[in-house]
Amino acid sequence: MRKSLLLTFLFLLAFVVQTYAQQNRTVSGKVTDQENGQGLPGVAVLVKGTTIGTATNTDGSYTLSVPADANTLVFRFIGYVAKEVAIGSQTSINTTLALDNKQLSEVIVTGYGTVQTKRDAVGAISQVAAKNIENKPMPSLDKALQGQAAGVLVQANNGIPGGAINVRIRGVGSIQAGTQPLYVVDGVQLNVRSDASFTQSNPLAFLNPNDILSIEVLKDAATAAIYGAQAANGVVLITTKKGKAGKTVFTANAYGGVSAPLKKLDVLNTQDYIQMRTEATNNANRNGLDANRQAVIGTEMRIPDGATLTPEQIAALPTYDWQDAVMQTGKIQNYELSASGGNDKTTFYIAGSYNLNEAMFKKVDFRRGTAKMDLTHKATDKLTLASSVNLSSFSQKAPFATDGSSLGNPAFSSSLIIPSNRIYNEDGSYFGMLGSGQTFPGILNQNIVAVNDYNDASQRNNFVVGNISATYQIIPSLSFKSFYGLDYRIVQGRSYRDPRTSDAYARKGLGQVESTWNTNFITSQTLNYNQTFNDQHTVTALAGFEYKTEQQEGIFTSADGFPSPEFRYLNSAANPLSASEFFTNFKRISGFGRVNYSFGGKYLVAVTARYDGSSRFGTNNQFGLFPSVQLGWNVSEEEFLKSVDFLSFLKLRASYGTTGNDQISNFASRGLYGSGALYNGSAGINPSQLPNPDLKWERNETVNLGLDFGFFNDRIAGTIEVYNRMSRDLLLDQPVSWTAGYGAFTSNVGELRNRGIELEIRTANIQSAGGFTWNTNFNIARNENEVMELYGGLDVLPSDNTIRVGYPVGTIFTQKYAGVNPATGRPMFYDINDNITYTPVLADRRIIGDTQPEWYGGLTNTFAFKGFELDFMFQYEYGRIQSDGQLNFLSENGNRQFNTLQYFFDNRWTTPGQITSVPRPYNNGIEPGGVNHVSASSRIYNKVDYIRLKSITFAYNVPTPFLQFARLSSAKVYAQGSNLFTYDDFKGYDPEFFGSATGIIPQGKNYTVGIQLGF
Amino acid sequence: MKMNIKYKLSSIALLAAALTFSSCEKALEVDPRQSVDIATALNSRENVNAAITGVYSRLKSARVYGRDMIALPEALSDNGRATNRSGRFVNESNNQPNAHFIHWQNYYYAINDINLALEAIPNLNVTPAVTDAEKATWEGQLQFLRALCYFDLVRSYAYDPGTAISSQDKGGVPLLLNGVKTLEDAVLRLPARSSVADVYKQVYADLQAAEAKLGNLTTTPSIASKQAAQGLLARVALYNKDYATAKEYADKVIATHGSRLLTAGGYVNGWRNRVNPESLFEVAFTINAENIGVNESLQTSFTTIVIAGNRSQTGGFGDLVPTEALLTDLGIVMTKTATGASTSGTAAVAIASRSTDVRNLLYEIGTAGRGAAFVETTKFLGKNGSINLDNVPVLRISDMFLIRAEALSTPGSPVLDEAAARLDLKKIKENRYTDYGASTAAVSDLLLSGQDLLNEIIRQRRIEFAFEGHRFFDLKRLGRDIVKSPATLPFSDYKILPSLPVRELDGNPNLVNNTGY
Repeated sequence: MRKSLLLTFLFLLAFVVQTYAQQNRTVSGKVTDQENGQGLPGVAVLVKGTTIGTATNTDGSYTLSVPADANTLVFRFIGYVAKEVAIGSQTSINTTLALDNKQLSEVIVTGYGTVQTKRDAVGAISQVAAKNIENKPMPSLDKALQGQAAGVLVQANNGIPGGAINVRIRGVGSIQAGTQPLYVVDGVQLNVRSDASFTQSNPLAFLNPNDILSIEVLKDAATAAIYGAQAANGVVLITTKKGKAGKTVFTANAYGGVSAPLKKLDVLNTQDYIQMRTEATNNANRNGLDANRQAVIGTEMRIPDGATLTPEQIAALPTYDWQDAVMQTGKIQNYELSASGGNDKTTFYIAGSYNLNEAMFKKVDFRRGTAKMDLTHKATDKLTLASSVNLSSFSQKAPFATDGSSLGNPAFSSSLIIPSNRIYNEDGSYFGMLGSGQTFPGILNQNIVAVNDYNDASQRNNFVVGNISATYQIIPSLSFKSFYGLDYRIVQGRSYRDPRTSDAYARKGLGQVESTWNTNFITSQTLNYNQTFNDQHTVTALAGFEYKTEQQEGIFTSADGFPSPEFRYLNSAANPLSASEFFTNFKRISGFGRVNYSFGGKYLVAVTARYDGSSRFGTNNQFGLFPSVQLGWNVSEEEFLKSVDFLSFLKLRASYGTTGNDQISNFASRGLYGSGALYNGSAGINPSQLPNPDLKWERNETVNLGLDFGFFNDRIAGTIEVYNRMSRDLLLDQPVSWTAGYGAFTSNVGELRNRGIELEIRTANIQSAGGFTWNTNFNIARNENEVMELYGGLDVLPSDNTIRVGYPVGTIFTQKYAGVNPATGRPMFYDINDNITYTPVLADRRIIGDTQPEWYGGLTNTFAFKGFELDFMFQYEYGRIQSDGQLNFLSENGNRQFNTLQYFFDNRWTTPGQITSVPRPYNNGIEPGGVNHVSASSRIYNKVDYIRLKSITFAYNVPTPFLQFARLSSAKVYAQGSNLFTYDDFKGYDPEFFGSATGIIPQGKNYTVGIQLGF
Repeated sequence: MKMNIKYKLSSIALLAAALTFSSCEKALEVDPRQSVDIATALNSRENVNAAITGVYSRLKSARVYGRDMIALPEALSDNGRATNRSGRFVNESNNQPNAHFIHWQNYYYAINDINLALEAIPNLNVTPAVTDAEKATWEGQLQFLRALCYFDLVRSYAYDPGTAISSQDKGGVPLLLNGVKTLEDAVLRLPARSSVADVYKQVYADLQAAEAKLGNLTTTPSIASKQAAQGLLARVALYNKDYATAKEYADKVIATHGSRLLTAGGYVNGWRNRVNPESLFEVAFTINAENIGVNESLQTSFTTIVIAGNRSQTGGFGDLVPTEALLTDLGIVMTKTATGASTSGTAAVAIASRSTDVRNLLYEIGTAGRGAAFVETTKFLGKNGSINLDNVPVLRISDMFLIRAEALSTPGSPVLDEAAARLDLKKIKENRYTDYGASTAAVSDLLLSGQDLLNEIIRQRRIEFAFEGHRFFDLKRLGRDIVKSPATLPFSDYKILPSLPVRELDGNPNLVNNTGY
């Protein structure tokens, strides 16, 4: 089977080379702008139905050698209506191009260098143009996708600039294997695993988003199938800016601004805190409010003479704002310079940038320098060499912790510290430090401002992402491309735990250093074929093979015992603690092909197949085939619709495709004994994993139906997509009894379905004669996720009760909260028979919702008038519930010695008969014969629906007369804001989060102003 | 000519493609470097040794001797009081449902490690060949460890022989003696609970084999020895109400190692040593990389103190401290508040007086760094050079005297001999009370008999092994209620036994959970 498939590919390769050679002739001419008659540089001039072509030079002129049998030239330029001119016997062809308002004629890329007009495309592809993401102060491009494309859900898991982002295209397609899409930058398939130990470093932050020309999101399996085994979660193709022939154009761009907190959590002041703990301790041990108040103030809060304070003195006690002390107004700066130009032989694009993005949280920042060079050279008429290199280095300061409930984590503790605790002593030194004789009261007993100040950690990521390629035009209709790409990354990190702070006080400082190397090499060899027969039958074909290897190596070491805080490098440490090293690697080899057939631009057919072999899978199943077929019908091209004036475009599409998911660990199919055990000075080994020689790809099969439409000369245009995505043979850790000595093995079991509908609408609401325009882009997606099957007839995954047959991944199965007993103030729950209980048991659990949004999308409005442009984008999510770990701590309401949210305090039960959802405060949270009110139940799950004004931009393009005066070719000034407004009903910090949210660095809002000059 | 070039190029491309694919299976070969293949892992002497080390290392888990096997028996019983500084042990000390032992996974993993190693040893084909002595050392250690795992599983998850409440008794724990090597083995492993008797039978068999194979205890109690096997069997037999065997094995250990019992003068110092001189077996935490850390180590669980006697430097949480009842048994009298309550846990904390029992010197007032101070135990104090790093004694020689005393004095024992029991009691007390010889207690102890004698022996066990992981198991095997504040836990309460892990029940229809869950 395997061999015969390989032969098929070879046969396909052989098929497309069978053609012939012919004599050429030369055509030359000039392309001008219809509006002003000026030469248009950079226009693509192509022989129709081939890949033979050139670009116009600075003044719009071109010379092209065309085959004798060529009869039509196509002139294409982004933003202009493409034009076809018959060649006949002419040797000189001058033409004009007109500006195009229709977006449908823009081109899109679909992988491996294939460029199609949208009219010819048959896939479900969302495109995000440079304009939509430029100058936004977001370090990584994935965040820029937020709200821009229907069916693409983007969730930030915190506010660390360059931090992790969760991107899901058309729902969750896997239960345990990866759910993130494949990212491809100029043909290089990126490794986006974060290797940073001390903060979150999103590898996608290596690229300056302003160097991006366009982003295409391949959503349906049939289009993505060309990427086979990596494409199950969709593919994001990133094309960076390229040079254009003509006078060298310089562009300088700079913006600057600030980041600020979205909000502060409204926590109790000292007086309310005293009242809360007094009630809590008194409810638990009936010693009387006064005695308990004295104990709270004197013993717990350690306020001097606490036992004897008068009510007036208590009322005068100060409150310290710890949140304020760890937040800041951060600086944002961005500088860029690019040069683009060249001649008809060579074009180039060179750009450099520097970006500084300080978060609104102290000690969290992001600094990036990038250098990009893009070069294309036509060595001969037939041979084109190209190279694109992105050099990038970004460094991040890391806070004490990026998430979690460690006491020193400033993001966790700042809202929970007892509010009467001072931050500074009168002499300016930090209050409550170890060894000072002062004690820092409360469970959160560290001065986190000092902890954040004294400890430091940093992370640096250095990247080389580049490629070289050579394209040879074998015959006019056939070219061969040899492509080599490298994604190389060094991740360095250091962390120093200061001996003045709790975590390293006893050990006198702890230093940790990591270094990780990633070498991701890819090569592909492709043949591209493009021929039109009888002016009716256009065939384009692609065949190729690819090899990829991704290797990761790293070292990690740590030491403690430093002489003093001034010594922060490991060579100063007394005790080396650990030295570790790791290696991992996978390899993949693939053959692929695609044939597109178009009959007169009306009927479109595409067939794609890819055959992948991966070292990750079991020896019995290392290879997999991923075929797909797509059909398209440009209905509006039919004669019977040509007379329908209001209909400018209508296309129906249907596709079926398969893709794979290989996002599991590199050695998941192997049976292993692992090292690392230690005992009595010796190193030990333990069995760690059972072999599964049958392990294979997780398989996605998607049926996609699409409708593209344009009305009134495309004033109203859009796309509707409906899909049904079945994920089969899920890569699942199938649990086995612990008595077997293992917890689980990676297996192919179960089925998952995502089906949904997506709508994108682009409208030109106003196009007034006076030059005022108002355009709206709206997108909305609904995805229904359902676990169809597990294994062995199970209804629930034994290790994870959020995975249940018949329900979405992330279903919440817990007890139902019944509110507070009005008579006693005790928390009540429903048992399985809906009777009230104080001690819910496991059998009382039920389904209360899930963590996937039902609806999500974005809305962008753009107003333009005489060079002014106002653009604002909303993003929204509806229909998911989440438990916010930080909010859970903040709702304890006196269970333990830390602060709580004002909401819970104000609504607490205090008097018999009171109807409220917040129980009475009770020390340690467990009333006799009850359970903790913050333990798992529907009470800790909240709706996190929101609409957010994600960005608003106001820009002014300086008009031409002023430009000429200043010898500029373009000038723009702009102001922008991000996350300025959120509509929600959520008590935590931010409804836009992914994961548990305990102690995460929160998102902030940004304001920036900038200027962009071309000369 | 042009045609030729094209065809040449095409041919080269095709050839390249053909070459690449013809070798593709080879091109996909890649091996891990931090792990070895399971099929060949135990083919060398070094790796068998490493696999045995791997089993020992599982004992360090915080779910077993790293914390839970030591701390939870205190929290669940009447010895430990949760201070609510971090919230840890609050549920256990209140005997909340599901606040109990959760070491099923850790022990069954260790058992599988052991079974795999035991199966590999006879097939080991190395040069020079494995000697009988080598084989005995390996197998003796593995069988000792397997016995320890099964004993801890059965005494945690099941009723003890002789005191089961039959209406709530669901049997012992699954007994598995073969290693899992393939997926099929793993998937088909759906065992039912074996009877308690069968589990004890296997534990006896393993310990008797280990006793025969292992050498004498020298200076390293962190590795299994003949005396460790004998001592554990004495304890197992006591739990099994098999008093003759308990006495027989306690005798054996006392005969060779009884002199390791520390005197009253040496007791406190013994606890300040890296290795407790009384240990027959202890779980070693040697280097800081093994440190369980500030959240879950025994030191942080039991005390805020970093240096004995120094109340100015706060280390851990001190989450679990002695109850008033334990302090009373220890002979520590607290200063009282105006209302007559103990000052432990208030700002006015102070010790009014101490008895002459040297064991109470391992209890002192903690720091006030995390709120009002309590009296805390300093048995675990970072003895191994770093804070939170301590060896954990599992079997001490004093246990042998108290086991024997109990076996000799329990009514109905086939080896009932109260006079001998009183001698063992005297032996312990002489070495724990500085003035025992001249005290009135020494005289009145001579008059103890029947239930009074047994009760005094049990009380001495409570004092001797407080915060060493015995109390809950002792009360449970004796079928006694746990008398504590705010609520006594009757022995008949289902919460005496933990739930089996829910995931184990979900995937295995043969497994029955304990009553109440």
